[in-house]
Amino acid sequence: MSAVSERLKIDLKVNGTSYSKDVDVRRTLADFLRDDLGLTGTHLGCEHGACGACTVTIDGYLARSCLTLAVQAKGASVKTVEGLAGKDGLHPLQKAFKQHHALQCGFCTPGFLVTAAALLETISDPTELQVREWLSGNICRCTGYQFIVDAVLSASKDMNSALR
Amino acid sequence: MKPPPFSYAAPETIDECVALLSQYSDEAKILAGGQSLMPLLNLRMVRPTVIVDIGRIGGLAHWKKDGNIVRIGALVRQRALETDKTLADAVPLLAHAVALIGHPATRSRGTIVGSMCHADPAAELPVCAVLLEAEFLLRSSKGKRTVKANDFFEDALSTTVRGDEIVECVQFQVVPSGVGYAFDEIARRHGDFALVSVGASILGNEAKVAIGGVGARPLAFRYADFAPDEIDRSRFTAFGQHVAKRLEPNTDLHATGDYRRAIAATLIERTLLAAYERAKRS
Repeated sequence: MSAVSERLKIDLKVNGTSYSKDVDVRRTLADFLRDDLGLTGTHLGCEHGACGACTVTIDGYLARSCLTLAVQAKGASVKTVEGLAGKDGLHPLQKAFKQHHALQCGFCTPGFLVTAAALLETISDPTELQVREWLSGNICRCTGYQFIVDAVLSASKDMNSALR
Repeated sequence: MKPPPFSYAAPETIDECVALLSQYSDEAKILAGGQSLMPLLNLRMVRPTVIVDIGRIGGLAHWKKDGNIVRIGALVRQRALETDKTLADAVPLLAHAVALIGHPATRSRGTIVGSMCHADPAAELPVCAVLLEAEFLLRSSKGKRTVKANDFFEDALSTTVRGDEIVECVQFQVVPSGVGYAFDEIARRHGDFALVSVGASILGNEAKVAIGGVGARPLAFRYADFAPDEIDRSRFTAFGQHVAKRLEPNTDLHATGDYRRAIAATLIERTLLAAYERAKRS
């Protein structure tokens, strides 16, 4: 029978870097990223999947890191908001967020950026409705959302024109 | 909050899994996508001794068509209904419902079977299971059994699955030709649990609806001699009102019982019309 444990060793990749760590099995992926790896860009709002601030991708798919145990990500490739900016500076989405005032306090921003990046990887030229649908799982208490939607649409245009 | 302390096992085969379940039974909780269990853990509403993570059991991550049966394994994510067109075509009602379930970030982890096992009275997939008369294949170390959707959903957040059993897959009959399906709901915000949700099907003279959010479990109604006439919309309206009169939904913070009944009548009319249009086209 498979072993029952309270602590396990996990190997995983985060933003392209390999890590091997012992973790408590009850550790959420969010706490693992923040407290064990020091990647504090991932924010924790509600800790029960309602606010979206902790959104990351696991093997390319969006996930709430507060609703995922670190041990579930064993062997997976995780991407956090820290993985968005490249050698050439900010990701087009990050630039657009700045340009369009799509953040005020910034607490929800990592979740919005990761979600929007996944959207633009799935649909490169989304409609405003599609942007709103994809972002509907993220709560922002400052902006009223309009500037966030503007920023995502603008980043989509920039990224598509850069490809041409 | 954070999850309370527990022990954890990640079996790699279904046999290992049922051995663990027979050892721990009601002390164990099965973790698949975690979109229902993890909030309950973080809110300290459940305190299992052992979490059995079925995420490493490869055999559960597939669906297949076997003769006139479509079987969806316990690890098939809800997103598959959006990304896998052959699956969407095999279970069109589920594909109509999926966009209303949560958000991309929850659908990419949450599983189809997991949502059914959680049996939230306001959730969409249990409504689909009842309408389609789905069957659940349960397995324990003692053997297998099949449970019909009607006998599966017991009460709010409660099914007839025993502590030593796992739902290996849910199965549906292949879509009959000429059928039309539709699903719709009213929620305060997109992605929230519905105040009321309705799934509908029309096949020949028979109309069926299943309704969520109006009781502890989804309720189904059948109209055997519906014979809808396009010109006479009033039959759709009348059926909606006829069914709504028989519902006894709760009043709570989100809506009164009367409002839920009114929504149900409207949604039944709306989904039957949509199902009828699709049945005509197919």
